Amino acid sequence: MNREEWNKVKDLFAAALEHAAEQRSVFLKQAYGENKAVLEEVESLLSAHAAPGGLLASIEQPIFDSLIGQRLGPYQIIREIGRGGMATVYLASRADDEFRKRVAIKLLAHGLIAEELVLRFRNERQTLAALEHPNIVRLLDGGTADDGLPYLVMDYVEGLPIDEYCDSRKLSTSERLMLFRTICGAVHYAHQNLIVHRDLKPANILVTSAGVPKLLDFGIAKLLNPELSTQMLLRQANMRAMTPEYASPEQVRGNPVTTATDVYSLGVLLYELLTGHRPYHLKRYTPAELEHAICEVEPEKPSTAATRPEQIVDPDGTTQTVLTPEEVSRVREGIPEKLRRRLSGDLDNIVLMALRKEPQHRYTSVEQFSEDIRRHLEGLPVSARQPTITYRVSKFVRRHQAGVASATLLVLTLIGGIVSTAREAHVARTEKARAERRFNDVHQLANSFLFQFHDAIKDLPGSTPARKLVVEKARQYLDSLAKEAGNDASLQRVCQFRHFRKLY
Amino acid sequence: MKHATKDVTRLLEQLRAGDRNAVAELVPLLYDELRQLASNYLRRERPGHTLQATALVHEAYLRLVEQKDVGWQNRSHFFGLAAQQMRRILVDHARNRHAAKRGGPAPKVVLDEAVVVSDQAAEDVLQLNELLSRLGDLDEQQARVVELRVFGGLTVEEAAEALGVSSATVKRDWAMAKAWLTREMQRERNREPRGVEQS
Repeated sequence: MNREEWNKVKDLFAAALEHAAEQRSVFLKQAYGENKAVLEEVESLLSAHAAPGGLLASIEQPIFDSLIGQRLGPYQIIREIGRGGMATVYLASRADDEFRKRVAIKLLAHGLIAEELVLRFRNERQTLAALEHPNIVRLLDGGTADDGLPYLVMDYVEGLPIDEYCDSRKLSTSERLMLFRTICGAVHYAHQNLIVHRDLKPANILVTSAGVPKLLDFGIAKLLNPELSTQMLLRQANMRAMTPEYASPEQVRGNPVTTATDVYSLGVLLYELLTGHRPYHLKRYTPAELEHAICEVEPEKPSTAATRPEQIVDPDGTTQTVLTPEEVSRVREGIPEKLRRRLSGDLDNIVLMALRKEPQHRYTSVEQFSEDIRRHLEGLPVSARQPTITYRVSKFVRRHQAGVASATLLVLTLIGGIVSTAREAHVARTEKARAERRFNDVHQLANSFLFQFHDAIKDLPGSTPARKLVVEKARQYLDSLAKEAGNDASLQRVCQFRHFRKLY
Repeated sequence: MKHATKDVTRLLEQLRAGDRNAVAELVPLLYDELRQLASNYLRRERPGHTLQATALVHEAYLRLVEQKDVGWQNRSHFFGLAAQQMRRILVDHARNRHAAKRGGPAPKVVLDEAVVVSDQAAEDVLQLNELLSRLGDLDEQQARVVELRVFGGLTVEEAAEALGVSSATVKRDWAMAKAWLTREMQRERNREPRGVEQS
């Protein structure tokens, strides 16, 4: 097959795929009846296209697919129910249990010797085992598969991610807030046990049909326990496992993660539950864009976001959908205006307080966050306020550090310049005044010598030499003063000595 | 470790800026890392499993690149180069296995002495490599798309970025290449009795 034919095959194959399978052969005959070789090639490729599997499938096949139907310890694996970056989750049942209790088994997805992953996984076992709370998924068991990979056995929770649950039940804002407070209770409990979740997002919060929320996946929880945190920090440097859109500014920057991080992620979650929107508007999902959005951009007020249509771009950048205010309020408060009124004020302030960029400006605990929501629900004043002027100024300064610094420097330089110039001027003026005073003093002295002293002694016998001396000295002084006076005509005139010459 | 990370991040940056010399420096770094990972992987692999190339490449990426500083385009370039190296490693490995089985000459590249890979997987890799080379003669870009998707684990969009073509083009190439490879494989299986194959 030559290049020209190959290109024809290519075009025809692509065009044929645009048609439904049963119409393809008709299309081919119409489009390209004459060249038999090309036609046969396309037809044979199309039939291969329809054939399942093949070599590529076996290469791409995930390595644990073969586990289905097999036993892992006492558990019989039923099917895969989820797959994440580091683990695959299976539905299983206890093989030796007559009640056939169903459990979820989380198994490391990689067959790789990724020590970070194994360590993190082992850590999850310890972390989860320490938690006993009605809204946190219970860890039942743990073990090691034949090939040395650790696995976890957890309660199997049948439920919907919280956002889907709320929308499908058309929960009102108040109902959403109450459900959210239950989650806060569970997170607060974990915090009291020195465990930060670090990855709170709708997919990790399932709500059962009975309306009970269950927190899943403390998989990347970091123990605040200092003994373990060093290991964690080391790992963190290599692999920043997090869900970008729910991550806090400190996570994005790789700064220390604290309980305030969960406050932030809960803030993102609440924002979404109340408005149907994310606090950020992302277009390309590049790391740089995410970092900018999370660390720099101030989120819009929930009441504004909920009542504004938004174009939503999928993370893969292909699909775009428009989220309208009507759609958002249909599953909440009915009409956009009602939703806007419900959100503006307290709820705007509460959500934005949790979403502050700096951990220290957020609620100091999840409990406090939850408490503020309670106060709002009961019509009591809440502690969250609109940002004060001082806060905004300090934000502005932090955001535009370089700009503010150079502007400040400029202003300071200007002030400095003005002050020192003024000072010099002042000094100059004082000097000038002092010089003038001295000039006048000398002038007066010379004059008084010349006139009063001279006149007083002129009648004394034998005083001529003295008088001559007096006049001579006075003249010398006045002359030198006249020189000092420079171009100042009035001063010069004062010092003119010429008319005194006639005395002698 | 940290040192290599810095290097790779810098080299990717240079590559994006159009410095082709960066490739010459990147390739050995990638090759070493991937080979190391493959060898670790094979040591703990259970019989009957194929080597999961895409997982290896992702692992190498996590190890070598400081993700925070690397843009989306750089990521595609990394995976594009890594896919090629991964193919090389898998093929070398499969050849060694094949040769060992036949008592042939000592293998040039030894991944690990405790290697366990099913014979079928080794043959699959060799067959795919062979077919890909043939496809490459007919249509270089299609062969490259398969390499990126199968050995590098790139998504359609990432492959498009790495090749500098549109996603639609990659989708078309991928569909046709898959069909072509599947058909050629069927033909070979029909032609040859099982167990005999080229190397």
